[in-house]
Amino acid sequence: MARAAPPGGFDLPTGDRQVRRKIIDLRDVTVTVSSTKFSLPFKLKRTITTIVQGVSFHSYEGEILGLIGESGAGKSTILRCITGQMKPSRGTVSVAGIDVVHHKNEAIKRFGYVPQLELISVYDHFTALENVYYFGKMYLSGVGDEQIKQRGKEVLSILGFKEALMGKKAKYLSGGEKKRVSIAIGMVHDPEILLLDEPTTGLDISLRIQVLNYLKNLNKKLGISVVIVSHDLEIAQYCTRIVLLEKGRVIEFGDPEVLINKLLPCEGRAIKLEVAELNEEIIDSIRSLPEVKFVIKTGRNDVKIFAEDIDKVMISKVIEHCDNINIPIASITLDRADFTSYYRIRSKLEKEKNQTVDGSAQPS
Amino acid sequence: MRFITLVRKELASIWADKQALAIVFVLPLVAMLALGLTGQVGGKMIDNLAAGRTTNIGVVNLDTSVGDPRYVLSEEFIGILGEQSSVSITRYETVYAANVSLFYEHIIGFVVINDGFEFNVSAHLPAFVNFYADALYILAQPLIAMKVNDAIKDFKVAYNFTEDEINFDSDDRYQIPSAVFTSWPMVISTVIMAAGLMLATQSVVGDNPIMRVSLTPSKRFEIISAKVAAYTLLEMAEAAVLVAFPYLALGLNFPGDPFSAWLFCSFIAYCGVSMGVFMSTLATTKLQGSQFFLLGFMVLFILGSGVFIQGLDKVFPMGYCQDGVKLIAYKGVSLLAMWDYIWPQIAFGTVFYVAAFISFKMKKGAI
Ligand SMILES: Nc1ncnc2c1ncn2[C@@H]1O[C@H](COP(=O)(O)OP(=O)(O)O)[C@@H](O)[C@H]1O
Ligand SMILES: [Mg+2]
Repeated sequence: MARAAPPGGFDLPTGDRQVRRKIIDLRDVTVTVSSTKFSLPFKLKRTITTIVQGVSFHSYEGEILGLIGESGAGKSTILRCITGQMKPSRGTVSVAGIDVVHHKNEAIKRFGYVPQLELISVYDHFTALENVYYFGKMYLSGVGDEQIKQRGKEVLSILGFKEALMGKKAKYLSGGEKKRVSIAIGMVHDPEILLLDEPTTGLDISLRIQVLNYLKNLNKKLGISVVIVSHDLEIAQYCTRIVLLEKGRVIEFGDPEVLINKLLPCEGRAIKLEVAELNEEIIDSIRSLPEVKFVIKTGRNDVKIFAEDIDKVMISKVIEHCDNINIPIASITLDRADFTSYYRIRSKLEKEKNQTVDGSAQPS
Repeated sequence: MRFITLVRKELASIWADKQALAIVFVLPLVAMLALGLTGQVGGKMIDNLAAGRTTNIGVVNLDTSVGDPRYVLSEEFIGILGEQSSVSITRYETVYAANVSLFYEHIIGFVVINDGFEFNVSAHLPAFVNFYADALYILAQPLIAMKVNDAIKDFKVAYNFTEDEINFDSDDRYQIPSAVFTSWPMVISTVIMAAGLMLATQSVVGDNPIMRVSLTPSKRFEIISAKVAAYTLLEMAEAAVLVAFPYLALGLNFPGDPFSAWLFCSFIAYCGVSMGVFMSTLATTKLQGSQFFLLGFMVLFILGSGVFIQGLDKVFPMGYCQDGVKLIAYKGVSLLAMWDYIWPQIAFGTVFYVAAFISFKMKKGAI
């Protein structure tokens, strides 16, 4: 099968994953919007803006895919292409093997979609269960009321709803509860894949983790594939596959572990160092150690150190160095890179790369 | 099946907004009750209004008796009646023929010269002139009473009758109409149209998750149709109340079939609702929806009255409803004979129903 090489030439998944079914497959998706502006004296100006360009990624059944990017990167636009609400001007989108552009009505039954805003996702004057019921009935019009309600209760209880809460009107529910009602609506027709736009945005930290854990739960218990769109790197640890999006383009795509390993030495293992009082000088001095690759600040007084080898020898070298420069150590432990540190290091490298390119282009 | 669910969902949403329901159901009842307490219409105002209007009066002469041999007194009286200012007279052979003419509103009422008129008058015995007036035309009774009274005065002077030889009497069945009776056709058609329009203008713009619903297998056509159906049903419920309440509680007793009158109201409900749903698809905020309602209301009731631009009342549905309700309830016309009043309403409603669908189909707004 002829296939356009994805921009940047990412690693394609290897091994047993190849035999699994692709649940989402975007190839070379480009979205342009045109707007017409009227300006005096009587001029119509038509501007065409490309908001998503040449995006390709895919995920397999049972996976949790994270689509991560800053606000305005084009995440929602991509989700709208997947749900058939927007047509890409180029490229193909398929969900569960169905071409969304040409067979939207068929594709609609295969996914559940959870929009970003609750206001447009949930009927305020209906109870949690009624909401799920009415949406369920849209998909399963031939199925009996009791059966749909049963299914609704099942999904709601996986999402942590007790019987009493199910009978409460949505307008009286808290933000996190409402979000979960919206997720249940997306789940009621037993879709093959659940698409969520910023499911954690606007929730406080404990609710964010709660919602993500519920999603993980759905994924595990019902085997449903999930796509989470977020600007929050925090979601990465829940994902089996990540798409990093920047200004409408995919900049990284792959398994988070693989991405980390590719960029960071020693499979992302790190030393976490906490000192009494941290400053830039100390960080620079650690950075100057020959074995050290990257140092990033992770807290007020702590850093993560990445080096070719993370072992006892390296730890003692760090301790020795601190002794030498007279810095008392509060704690020193072995640690691993998380996606946040990966992203920060990656951004920094990109920036340095761009600077050197600029530098060579215009030698001073 | 899915359509039924969508209609049920709409009805449940309507039911959830008790405040809107209260306004829509209670206000018209209060208005009707106020009209009921007003009692009868009439007084000086009507006399003033009646002055100077062209008055088409029917006359039936049933007199076979013979009185003063010099004149045919009944015909003399009719002649004098015809000479009254702005009166125009049509002769009928029988009361039945005059009634038919009254039914079709060719005349606003008719006068009956009873048998024995000439004999009694000539013998200075009391003689009676009966008259029948259109109960649906508020000025009919005072107008005819005035003209007949004037004619009697002139007649007495002309033929030297000085006693109470002649009197007139209106038939007992036609009493001065009550305020409820007179205004009910207008109230019921206006309220149903306006309430349907008002509620429906919020139906799409106020349905925040509607785009999520259209991202299910529900077709946009089904979604719009369900809205039109649900709100029309709601207005049917309102129509039932507006037929039953005056009928049962305010003594509005009409000869026609209340059930047919109620069914007939579904067409005006359809018109108001589909126009409202259409405007709701255009609105982008609820406030805009309210503004559209006001605009629609003014167009319907001011332009639609045909007062400012003649002929528009033949396009807009209000007049058809009002006249139709009168015919069914007050004149006992069967619903099946009302096609001329029904199809313009169906046409009007359907234009907006289709427009609503097209407008909603084109609505962007991805979620
Ligand atoms: N219909 C549209 N017309 C014009 N610009 C749009 C449209 N939809 C999105 N955009 C622009 O495209 C960019 C990406 O939007 P979006 O996909 O919503 O970003 P994200 O969800 O990642 O925050 C934004 O700059 C937005 O302003
Ligand atoms: Mg977004």
